[in-house]
Amino acid sequence: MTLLAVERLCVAYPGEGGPVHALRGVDLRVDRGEIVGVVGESGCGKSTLASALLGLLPPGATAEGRVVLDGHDLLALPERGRRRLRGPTVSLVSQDPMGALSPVLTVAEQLCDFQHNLRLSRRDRHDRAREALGSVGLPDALLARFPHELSGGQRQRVAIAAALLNRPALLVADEPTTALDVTTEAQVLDLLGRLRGDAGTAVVLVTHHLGVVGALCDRVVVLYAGEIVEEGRVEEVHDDPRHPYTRALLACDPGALAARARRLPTIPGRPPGLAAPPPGCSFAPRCPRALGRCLTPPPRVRLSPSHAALCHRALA
Amino acid sequence: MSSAAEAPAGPAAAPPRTALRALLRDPLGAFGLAVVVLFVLMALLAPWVAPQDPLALDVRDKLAPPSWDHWAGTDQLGRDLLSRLVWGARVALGVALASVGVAALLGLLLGLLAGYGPRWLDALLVLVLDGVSALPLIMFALAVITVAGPGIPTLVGVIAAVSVPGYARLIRAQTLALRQAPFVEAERAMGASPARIALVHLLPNVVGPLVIVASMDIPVVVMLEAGLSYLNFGVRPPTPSWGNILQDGYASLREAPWMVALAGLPLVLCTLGFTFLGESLRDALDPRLRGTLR
Amino acid sequence: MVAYAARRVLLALMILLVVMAAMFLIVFIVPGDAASIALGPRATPELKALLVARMGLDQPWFVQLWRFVSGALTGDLGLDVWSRRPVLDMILEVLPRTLALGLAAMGWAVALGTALGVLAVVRAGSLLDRALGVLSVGVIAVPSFVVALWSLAVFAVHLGWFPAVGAGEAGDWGSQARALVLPAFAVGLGWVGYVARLVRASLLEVMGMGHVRTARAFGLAEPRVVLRYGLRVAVVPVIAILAVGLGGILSAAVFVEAVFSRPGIGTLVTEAVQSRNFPVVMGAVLVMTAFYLAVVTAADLLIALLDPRVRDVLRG
Repeated sequence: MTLLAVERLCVAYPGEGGPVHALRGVDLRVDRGEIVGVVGESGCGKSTLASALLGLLPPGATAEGRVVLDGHDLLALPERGRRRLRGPTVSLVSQDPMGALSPVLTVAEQLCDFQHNLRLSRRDRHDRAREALGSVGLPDALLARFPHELSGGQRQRVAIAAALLNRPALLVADEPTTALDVTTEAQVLDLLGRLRGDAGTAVVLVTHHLGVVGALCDRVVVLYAGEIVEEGRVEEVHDDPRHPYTRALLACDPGALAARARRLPTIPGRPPGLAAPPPGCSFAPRCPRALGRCLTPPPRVRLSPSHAALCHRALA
Repeated sequence: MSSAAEAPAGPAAAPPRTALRALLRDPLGAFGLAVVVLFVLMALLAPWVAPQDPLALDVRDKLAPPSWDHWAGTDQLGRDLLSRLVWGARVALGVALASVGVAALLGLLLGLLAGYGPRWLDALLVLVLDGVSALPLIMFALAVITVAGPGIPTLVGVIAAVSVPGYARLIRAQTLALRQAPFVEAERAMGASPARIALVHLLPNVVGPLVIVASMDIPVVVMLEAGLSYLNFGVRPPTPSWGNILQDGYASLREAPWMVALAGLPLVLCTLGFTFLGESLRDALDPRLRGTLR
Repeated sequence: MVAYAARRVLLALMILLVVMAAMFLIVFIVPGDAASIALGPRATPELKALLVARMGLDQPWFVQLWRFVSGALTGDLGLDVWSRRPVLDMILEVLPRTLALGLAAMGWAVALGTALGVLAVVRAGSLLDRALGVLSVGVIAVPSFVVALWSLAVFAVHLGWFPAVGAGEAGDWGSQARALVLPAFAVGLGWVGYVARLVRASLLEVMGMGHVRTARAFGLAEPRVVLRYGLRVAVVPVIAILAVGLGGILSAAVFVEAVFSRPGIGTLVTEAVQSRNFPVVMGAVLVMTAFYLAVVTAADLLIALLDPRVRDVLRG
């Protein structure tokens, strides 16, 4: 059952020398209860995608295409309509737990605020806030505290609790564990996993950490220079990566390195500047397998019903 | 009195020539520059620019409205108002430059001492400076004037005295920040005396923000001088000051309302011009200061 | 919180003592002694001797200082040289008028300035925003006593809408209010621009922060986001700066009171200066300094109250 359908999404920001194309024709499908990982380097457009899923693009950004969430096209809706969807239909857990919560309001006040779209009485909101904290493993006492009095891991769990409060159909997690230590990260990931079981919440997990994707996701989508270069079930992409960039990412993943590897592999070069995207394959300049035809736009090659790669040499 | 609190240390961000160009591109800055130049010229060339003698009395023609003979009319003693206003520019800028100059010098010295000298001296100076700046400046000024009497020297002294703490604190902050800088350590290692380090190495680096802040204080000082002269505590008649001309205007408000209107104009224009110029200059030279100054 | 408050109050007292010493020092540093000054050209040796004895100037300096300080701390600020009235009484008699002026001026300036600052942020880049940029600088720069004179000339003398002199009849709130309008306008005008700029800068910075994005992500309406998640955080640095700027209000008040011949501390002091009545001037300076210190300390405490992070930093 399709919950989210992103079709040919293009997003550009105004920039010094012309518009910067952060997303260039992204297609994405998420079914109810699925956990989809979105992987890529910094600057590839991950955060823009996360914002777009909430209809929260910054003013000045231009967007084309469709983002259909539970039957509503976010890009076509007026702001008021989009606002109503935020919270109950789609919720956000963002990267920076310290910055994500207001320093001058208590946890309770903010958790109650964030139930805005649910139209409940104050008492109900307070009760639900307490429940939500409990479901992420935090004691009631934290309700009266201020964010700076909590540890990083606690703050991130509060952020997840806030997202859960509304029992959204879709949870967008934008690098939720990047700022956390390994143990806390494991707890948070465990929480996210339980969501699907308990409430049937679908999750779009945006991250640059492959290990997280492997541990939690059903499907994975690889983003490079504003385009999806490979997508498929996690096992498929992990065992049989078809795009050179995906292969390189997997090779660089510290978790996957052989114990005796003496040097950390890197991918030479840098992602292209998105103000003037390259004409052909955007990865070609850095690709060890590039050929002459890679200067023309690559085809999307379907390798299985669920697995596809954007590469001239996907089959070779 | 001062517009400075703490400012980031280190050399200014942009060289003067590009700064000047940036300044001219900003319409307010260009306007400010034009106005400032106008007033400076007026002040310098007053004896030649003023149409008549500002002290020449003509009591039969007192409180005359603007006419071809007297473009701005005459005051209650028949003196040509325009000439008095032109000479007033000389007084205003003279007092401003003198007091800001003295204050900046003293502030520089005290700030360097506090920032680079022994810690007890720093603690003492900070306490005293905080104390003086806790005083509502106008009160302090009035207190000194009570004892010393009105007049230009007192005026310059008082204005300088209230400005010193702000400058001193700025220089102190800059000095403290630079104290740990590698080049200072190197000099110390080579055996340079503290005085030498302070004067030759620290001073050129801390002077920049001081100049910017001081120039932004000029309009404030001009206003203060005008205000004190208005109250007859500053420049005494017959020497023309925009402040005491305004006082004359007030006294003759019913008979000659244009006096107040015309006398206020140069004061307002001058402060506006200096303020726009100062802001533009600060933005052009070192935008980092933007949030820290008044 | 209590320890913090105690320390701030102690600091304020110490500064007050320094100020007293400074005041005292003025008399010794500046040429001329208080008695001849007060007497002016009428200073015959006999009169001078009489006045010296009366003012206690024949005592050694540390005795004078001790008497002054101990007197000040117990509320005895000396006696007016001529009328023999207690200085403190004279000051307290006129203080409410100046306070009313200051409060009225700050009140309307802060209210309007805050509104303009918020508007400039909400409609960033618009004509209003840019007009505000120019106007606020300009308005700060205009000397308040010129504004006072001009508004006196136009609204009081020419149009007759408001009184040109005085503070209204005792007991008649209406006439007192009317007498307050022009002076409060003149004193406050310089502040509107200043406050607007401060609020705009602070709010602009806060609106870019993570917690604002979070609030929006949960569907809160924009006005709520701006006020509860933006302004509440932005207001803290503004309060700090405003408190310090209070001295400027007093400065303006002195001149404006003179222009409108309005009874208040300003006119009290200016008359005292004219008659070289140093005890009154000194007393007024002390009272106003103490008042100013009280305001700054109160502002600091208010900030600690509003921003829980400040409280914790200072607890340590």
